[in-house]
Amino acid sequence: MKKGLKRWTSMLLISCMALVVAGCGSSQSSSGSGEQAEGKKEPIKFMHMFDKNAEGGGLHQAELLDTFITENPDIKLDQEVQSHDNYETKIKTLAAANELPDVFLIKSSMVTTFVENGLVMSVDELLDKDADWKNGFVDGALDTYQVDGKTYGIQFSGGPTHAIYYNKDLVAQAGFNEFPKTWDDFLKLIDNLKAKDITPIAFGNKGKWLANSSYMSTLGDRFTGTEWFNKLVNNQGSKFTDPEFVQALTLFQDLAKRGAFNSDMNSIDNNQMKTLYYNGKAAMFIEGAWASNAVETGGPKEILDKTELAIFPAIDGAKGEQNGVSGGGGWAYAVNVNIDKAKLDDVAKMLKFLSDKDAAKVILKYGDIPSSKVENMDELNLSPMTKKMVKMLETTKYVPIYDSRLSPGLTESMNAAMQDMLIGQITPEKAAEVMQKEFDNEM
Amino acid sequence: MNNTAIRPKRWTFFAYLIPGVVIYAFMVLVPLVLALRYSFYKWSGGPKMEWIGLKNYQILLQDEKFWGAFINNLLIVGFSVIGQIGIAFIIAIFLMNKWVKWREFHRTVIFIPVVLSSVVIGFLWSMIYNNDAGLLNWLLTSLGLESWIKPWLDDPNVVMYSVTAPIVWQYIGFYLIIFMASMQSINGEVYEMAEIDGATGMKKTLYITLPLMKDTLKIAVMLCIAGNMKAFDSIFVMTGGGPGNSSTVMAQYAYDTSFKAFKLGYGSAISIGIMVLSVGLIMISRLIGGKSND
Repeated sequence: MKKGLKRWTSMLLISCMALVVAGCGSSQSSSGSGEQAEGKKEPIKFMHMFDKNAEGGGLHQAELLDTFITENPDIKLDQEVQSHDNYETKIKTLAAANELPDVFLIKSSMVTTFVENGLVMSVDELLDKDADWKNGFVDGALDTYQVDGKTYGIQFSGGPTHAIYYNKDLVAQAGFNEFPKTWDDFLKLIDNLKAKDITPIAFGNKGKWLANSSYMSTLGDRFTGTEWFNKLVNNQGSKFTDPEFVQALTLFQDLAKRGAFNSDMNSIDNNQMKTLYYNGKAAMFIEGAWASNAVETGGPKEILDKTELAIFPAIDGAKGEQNGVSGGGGWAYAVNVNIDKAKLDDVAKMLKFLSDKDAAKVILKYGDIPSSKVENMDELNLSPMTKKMVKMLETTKYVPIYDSRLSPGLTESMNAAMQDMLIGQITPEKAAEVMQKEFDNEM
Repeated sequence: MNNTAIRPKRWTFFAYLIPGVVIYAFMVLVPLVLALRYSFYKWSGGPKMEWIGLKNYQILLQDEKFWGAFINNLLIVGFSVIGQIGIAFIIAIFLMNKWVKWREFHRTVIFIPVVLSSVVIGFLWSMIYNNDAGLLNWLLTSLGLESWIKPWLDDPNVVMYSVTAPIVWQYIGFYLIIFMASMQSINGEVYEMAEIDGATGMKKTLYITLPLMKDTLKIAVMLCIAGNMKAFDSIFVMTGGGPGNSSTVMAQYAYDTSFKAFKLGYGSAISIGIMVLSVGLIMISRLIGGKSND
């Protein structure tokens, strides 16, 4: 009896352990129904983070992938699905061990490192075979994945990280029936709103990234121009301490000094700031395209109906392009340089299916901004916010998102320096010095 | 001692010890040794590790952010030793009085925050401090003290006090339990003797309770220092170390460096730094506390 119990216990323990080990990576092997239809084809190893059962972004890719598998039973996929947070760690580890799958996702900040280490192949080869696919992309959508003129990533969606969501009633009450077109008018709007005891811009920067991603990336480029940023990342002489960049920082600090933001901007996060907006206590908030979905699902109906979109107005005397909006970066598909060439056609077929103009419609349906142009958009049954967003983007141009292009270490120190600057602890010059010092350390 | 008859064999002792020791080794010792090793490398998480010797420590010694965080930790430790231990001691003395009703009830209520997760505490207090709907500002307004209202978690001059208050509040119950147990173990006859000699309330506390609790107090101070040198969770929830770095404590700095900036080597060096400073502080407190006793 005793012995039996012992054996049972040990078996139970061992099976527990086996379960734990198995649970660590949810490797999901799926193949079409028509197995062996085309002889012995090696499956395409594909690692991604699109789980159709999970909440959050990327649901459109999961849906597209499902459709692709059903429509193409002859193409076998060996999928590995990771959660978003695990994915980044895992892909870096695999890259360092040179054990990358055939197709995977990379972020624009990783491209240079991956190319330098000879891990990814140029996807121009795939794109050039299909002009329809190649020319279908929004202008500049693939620029962030280029090194030395060659493209290494195929993006499927990537909206702007900057958009001003404003309550048109409150803005009208402050004397503007239309959103201001010049920076001076924008400042006037802020003053008028303040005089009416309305918080001009709800700002929740507790996570520290919002100031960088949704404000500074756009403001900075308005002053410096994109050329400056390209020189910065390639270490060709641009510095954070350049007068243009400091001007942008100063302008940003002036907004805070003027009282454009709520006084608790550093202790509330980007969800709490939307609550201020939903309550009608704030006239605007500034965040990326992803927030439009949040307003639609989380905001009260009367606020949603009044919400319009804008971007920062043109700034007098700034030398960059004044319709620039930070955006476009993010995740993109990349192909292993060591991939078996026989698989390339299937890979191209799959990536086209996930990112071309037909895929774009599915992406729009989920409220994301696709990287390919969409034809006959009026026929699509889109939500009003998505329509407004797409319309706004017709006249804008994407400029680099600082925190998706620069290294994590530099981003972290930029974020902290900006928070210090916004509460007046340090001057814009000092903030620029802090950033430059971290930049020099890394180069 | 002549109880060898029921004393188990030597190896039985070891067999029973092994699970505990193994778990301890893997949870504490192995990570510690690994952190020490990583701290000599420039490492961003992948297998590519570059040996840089003591360079991380060299940077650490001159790192303003790290020493700023250390000062913040000292502030929390200072307030906690006075606040947690002091208030707990006073409440314990009150609760030990014979006329106190519902002793268990009071003790339980004061102990509840200790059981709550620090994340919950952080959320609770950020709601209390909230600008528009916060309890604190509402209280000040209803008392006619509008001029006292501050952006509690956003003013760099105030934020450290704002984040320390919940920490002090949370752990009063913990020390209260320790003190009450220790007071109950003091022999009642000592008090009776003192009463015959004419000692009254305050004198009994000063000359009997306090000296007899000295060892307990020393342990409490040590626990307090050790606990607050690694303060992290509730501050992380309330401010995330901001605004800027004004409420960053050492553990938060180590976290940011390791997992946001992906400088795992330097992050390990910071962790080792935290350990050295904590042990140092505890040694100092033992020196001060131990002198008069021995």
